[in-house]
Amino acid sequence: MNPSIPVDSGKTIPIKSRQARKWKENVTAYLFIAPLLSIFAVFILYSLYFLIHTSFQNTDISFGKATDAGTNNYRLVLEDSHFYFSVLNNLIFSAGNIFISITIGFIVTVFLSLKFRGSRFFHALFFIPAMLPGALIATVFSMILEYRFGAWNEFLRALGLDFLAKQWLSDPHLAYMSVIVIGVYLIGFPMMYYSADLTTVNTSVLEAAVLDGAGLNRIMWNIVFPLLKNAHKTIIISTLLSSFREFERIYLMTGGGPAQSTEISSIYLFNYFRGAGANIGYVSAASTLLLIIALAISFIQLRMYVKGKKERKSAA
Amino acid sequence: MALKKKVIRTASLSIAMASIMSLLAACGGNNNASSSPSSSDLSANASPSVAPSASATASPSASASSAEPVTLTYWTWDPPSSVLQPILDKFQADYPNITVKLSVWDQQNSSGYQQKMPLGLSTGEDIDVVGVQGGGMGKQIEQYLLPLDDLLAASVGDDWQNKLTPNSVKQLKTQVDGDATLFISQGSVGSMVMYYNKDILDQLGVAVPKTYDDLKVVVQAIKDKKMNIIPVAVNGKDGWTLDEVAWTIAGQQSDLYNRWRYNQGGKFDSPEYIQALTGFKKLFDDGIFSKKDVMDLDYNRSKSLFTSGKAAFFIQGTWEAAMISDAYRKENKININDIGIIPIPSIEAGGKASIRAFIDNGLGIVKTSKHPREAMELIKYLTFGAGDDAINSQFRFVSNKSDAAVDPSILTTPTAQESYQTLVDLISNAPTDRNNNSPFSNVAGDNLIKMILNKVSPENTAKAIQAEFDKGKMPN
Repeated sequence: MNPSIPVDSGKTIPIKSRQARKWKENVTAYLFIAPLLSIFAVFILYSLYFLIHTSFQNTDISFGKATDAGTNNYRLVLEDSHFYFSVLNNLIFSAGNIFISITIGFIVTVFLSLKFRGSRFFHALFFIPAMLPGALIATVFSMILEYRFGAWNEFLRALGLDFLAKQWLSDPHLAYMSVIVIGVYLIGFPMMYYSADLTTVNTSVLEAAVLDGAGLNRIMWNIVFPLLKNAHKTIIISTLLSSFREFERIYLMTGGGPAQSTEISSIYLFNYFRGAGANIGYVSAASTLLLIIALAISFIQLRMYVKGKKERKSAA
Repeated sequence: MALKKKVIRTASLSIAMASIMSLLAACGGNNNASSSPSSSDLSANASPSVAPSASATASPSASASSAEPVTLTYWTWDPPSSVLQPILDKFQADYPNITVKLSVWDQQNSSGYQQKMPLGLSTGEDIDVVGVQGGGMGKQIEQYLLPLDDLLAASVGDDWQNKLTPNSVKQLKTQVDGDATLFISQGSVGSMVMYYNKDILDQLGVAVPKTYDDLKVVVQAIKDKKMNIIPVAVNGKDGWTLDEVAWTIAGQQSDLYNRWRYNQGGKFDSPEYIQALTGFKKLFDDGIFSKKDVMDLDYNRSKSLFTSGKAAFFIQGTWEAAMISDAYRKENKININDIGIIPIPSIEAGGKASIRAFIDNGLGIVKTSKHPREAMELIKYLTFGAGDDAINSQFRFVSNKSDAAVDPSILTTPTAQESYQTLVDLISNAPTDRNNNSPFSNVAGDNLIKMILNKVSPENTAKAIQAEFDKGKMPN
């Protein structure tokens, strides 16, 4: 006997026929997304296939004389300490950006939400850099931070503070710091997330806190900050994942240098790839490994997000 | 209701099918384009042995008037279009039936071209003539190039090799695997040389340095006069430039580069290379290269500091030699009265100031070109004809023509005359080839940056570079 389920009318219909009906209903949806899926298949799946396929070859950018490399390219990548260092830099620079976003970005947003005179102007002022092309920002900062004729050091020298004029981009330690600090200039996006999330905060909570005598510091860090946890999560996830796509900001400021100190994974790939006759198979192998790392990070984040959601549901 | 659902389903099915078909059609269309030419075209193109018509080899104007209009697509990276386009305009005036569509990629440096051109060939871009860089590019794209021997014999003459310098013909043969001539080189370039601002040297009251000690005197004079300039502008941010400087210093003492590049036993951890790195480091220790000032400069910035009078010297390859021309300086708004060229003086005693040089600015015809004979005429003009003379006269390279000469009237100052002679001598007598292993040049350069910034010893740096090379990622 076929299993069956009751329906609202009191009748029962077999599960099989219900599944068939559901499938028929979904066909329309699938057909609507078919064009997009076919584009996805061509441009994403084929790209993936091409990447993985070439990672097992020795070939250059002309793809003319490809020879089988087996797993040699993967072995070379895994034996290269610079590869690991570049991935580590990705994570450290992300951590720096996240720290700047959830501290300075958060504080500035909260202050600007107090709606004092000119707060809208300052809001726009902080947001404008986030709208500018990263390449432009990086180029301008690389000129400003040049040691000898850069505007920042010239300014310090004009004030008689010559001892503070440093090699911001050519000292390995300072260059590392400079790349992180530029993140301050780009707090517009985190501010946008925080501004949106602030509108959802129940003002009665804040009023109650004020009535209870809580100061600004306590309200900000013990009440508002935890209430904006969704914005924190969005900022952390988007910053971490976008670090694997980051390129021009660091490349145009330092080129990954000096001495590879600020090299992130995308610059590692590009610096290898740009030489005439470079083995594209090696670049493909490194890219495949990076893809796996990025997917693993996404997976862990997703698991944590789902776990948190379940816990919240069960608590409710 | 059921009818409505059916209509929606049918409509969505139609839209989806239409979209998929159009996508496939687009892909198919692209495929057809990339697989052109058709079999009839291919048979025509694959037969360079077909002798060009008498009109093509005789007077250009005769050929031009009788022939069908032809458009040639020409991709290169150098010379810049500001130099090349007027030359092509003259070519088109001589050959009215030929129109040349020029694309100069990345005029500031060649790295963009190194990626775009091979990719363009592999994806079937409609290109007739390509610029080929000296070094690895020839072997990289040889499967896409048409053998030129028969076309050259028919167009230039059977003795075409005699019209070029013997060294350039010898170097040309090393650039491809087989015996066929797949491209021909217009001129040779070398690296690294020092460009000097004669105005600054005059202001300092010092002579043009001939020895390393002279160079130190100039640097000291700049310090003593507290001029707000840097002594030498060099793009210390770019590893490849520092690598080339180190190899230039190595060339002052030995032919190690050729022994390494051609796998004849040359090693980075050899005494010769360690000596070169010691000399390289000395440039920084003696303040010739100011560590603080140059390590954050890229190519364009280091050049702009020199051309704006903020540096007394500029280190680069001979491809920047156009700066010795007064006309070039005026055209590019370089407000310096006189610029000259000297080699980097020998740092260690007993060395000989020299550079590495190699053929460059090659020109090849793409196999799929529908107009190989017209393309050959363009190559002939740019390599053996007036086009080569015009580029040579702007000092973009030193011509490989055996009878090349520049018009003396363009060398307007004694500095320019002397510098041009220096340029020719350095390239003609280069002890080693500038046949670069470009990917590894960046790796070696990064280790040199570490040596300077992190105070690593020359010995350990040499070992580290050798260890990187031994990994086999970027073999010669």
